[in-house]
Amino acid sequence: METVQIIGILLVFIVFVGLMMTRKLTTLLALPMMAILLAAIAGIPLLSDNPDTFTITKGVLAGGAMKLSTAIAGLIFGAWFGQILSKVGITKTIIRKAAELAGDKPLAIAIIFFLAASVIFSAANGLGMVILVGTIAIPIMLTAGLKPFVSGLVVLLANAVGVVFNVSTWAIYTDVLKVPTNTIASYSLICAVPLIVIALIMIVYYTRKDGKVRRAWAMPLKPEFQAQDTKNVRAIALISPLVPVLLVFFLKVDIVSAVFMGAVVTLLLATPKRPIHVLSSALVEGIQDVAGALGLMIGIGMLLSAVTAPPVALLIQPLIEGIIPTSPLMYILVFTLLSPLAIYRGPLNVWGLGSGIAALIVAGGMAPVAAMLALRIVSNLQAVSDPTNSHNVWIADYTKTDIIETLRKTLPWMFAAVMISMIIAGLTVF
Amino acid sequence: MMKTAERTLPSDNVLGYAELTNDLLFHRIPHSKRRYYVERPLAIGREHALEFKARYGTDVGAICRSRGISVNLNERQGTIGQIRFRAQIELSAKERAITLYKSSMEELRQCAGVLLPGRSFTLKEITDIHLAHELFHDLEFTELGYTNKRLDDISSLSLGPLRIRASVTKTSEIAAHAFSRYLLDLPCLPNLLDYAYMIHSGTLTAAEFWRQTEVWSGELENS
Ligand SMILES: [Zn+2]
Repeated sequence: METVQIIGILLVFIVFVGLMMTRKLTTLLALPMMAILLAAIAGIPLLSDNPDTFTITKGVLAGGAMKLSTAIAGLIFGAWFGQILSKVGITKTIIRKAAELAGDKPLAIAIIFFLAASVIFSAANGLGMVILVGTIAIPIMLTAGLKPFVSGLVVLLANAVGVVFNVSTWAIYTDVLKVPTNTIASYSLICAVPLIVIALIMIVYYTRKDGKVRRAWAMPLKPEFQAQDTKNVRAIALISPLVPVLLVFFLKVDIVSAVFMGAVVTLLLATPKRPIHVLSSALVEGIQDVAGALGLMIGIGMLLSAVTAPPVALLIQPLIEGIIPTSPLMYILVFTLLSPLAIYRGPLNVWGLGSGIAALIVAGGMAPVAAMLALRIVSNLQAVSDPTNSHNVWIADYTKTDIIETLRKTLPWMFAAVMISMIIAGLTVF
Repeated sequence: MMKTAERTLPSDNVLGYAELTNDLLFHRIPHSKRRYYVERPLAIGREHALEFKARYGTDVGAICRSRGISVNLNERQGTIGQIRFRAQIELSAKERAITLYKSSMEELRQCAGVLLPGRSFTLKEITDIHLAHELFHDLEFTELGYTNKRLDDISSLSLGPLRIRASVTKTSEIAAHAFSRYLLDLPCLPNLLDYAYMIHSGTLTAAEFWRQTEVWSGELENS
């Protein structure tokens, strides 16, 4: 009986990973379906008269939906903060100031935009922010003579760096792996520094690669002199995006409160004309920005409830234990070599099966911090290279570049960044 | 519209200034130097156009070929976000190539009459305007040096004692427009077509445009 169940569980994993990777089924729907099937195979009842029994309806579906509540709250407040920053004009002003700082040299523009956009994305990210930053920054880079691919790459890389420092996305590690926020914060540099260094090398390499100077006769579709929102916010308000991450890093404030204080500081420093309108419309539009991610969080919660329920865990644990790395070398090798499994909605994607697998690995005996770091490091590669990311789709579409070519041109670099981070992680936490 | 027909065309200074206002660092240009960043590039472009015309004639397609510049017609739409690309040149020691966006050329041909009543253009004329413009960038690359680098830098950012200097890149465009105008004997700088296109596509009205030329002219007078 047990063998049949194990085969059934493996089959569910294989079939659903296949369906997700071939894009026959969205992750959004696949995760709850997997949760139900895994629970059913392990013999968890659908319903029960006994209120204490773990059932599919109450335990997996209802309980799972709210299992990542901290992460969901973090995401909502993070998106709200991002919208506030944009509505009061901070996002645009940062990019404009960056353009002035960079002057007339294409490479300088690319590097400074990368750094400035990283700061913006550390405050808030997701497709909405990528579009916001991209629509301002990419045309400037193109008219400055950068290639469409490099202009898009700058935004992609900045987004990946931003995610590492974006406190509102950290809560998923608290919920899934029970790692406290300040521990997550303190290991951020291991994920970020190799990524930033590799990103800068990539930008220089791809800007310089063909050694061409570009001059374009390009014109705005709308007259510049009619642009309404040309006013910059006051300089001091430009520090607002950093407030939440600084509060979490140095004052150990919890995530939701840190973002909340960030919003208050933004309003005080920028003093928009209609603060109430800004706050309320930013909340509604912010939630729209992260609607898809919120759905994923609910699905991940259900999957987690299913795989961590004792009847399922008992069946899966022996399988997982076999592949849990037991030495730093194995830890480095396993996660580096398997890092491409994070793309195409693969099993190492933190926004999909990855969270469930990480939870199982920790249950199987790996230190939560080691699992958290591995998952975050692998996410770097996913954030930049994965053609199934909605921000990759948008950037490819906007810059008229080929999304698979972006995968091909970024994967080797990202693989190197993952390897360096994993080596440091292996030497420090394992 | 009767009113439009009676208009005199905007002067080179006004259209040159219009191009300058599109510069990223426009608001960092001291008011007293605005004329400098308009008139110098206009003079550079005009001077080289006249010299060039006397030496090589006006068959820009043939000139490009003889200079070893490849000309490609791009069938795709040259629009990225809010920016519409019309032509570009890629310059390197190995290769120099001009890309023209075909749909842009065709649209400009159709809408040119909006601001130039009674004047119609053939597709070849529109293409030549762009080729001449890009040809000037090639001249900048091979012989002259970039116009923006030849002119004074401005300070793009000042933080206490720290000053970052940068050139005004749009001056290179102004010179290229002037080169195109005087090589091909156009009635005015060809960036008028940019505004004709906006009027044609409805993001600007002709009345707004003419009002704006007065604003530009006033700003330039008072600088
Ligand atoms: Zn040009």
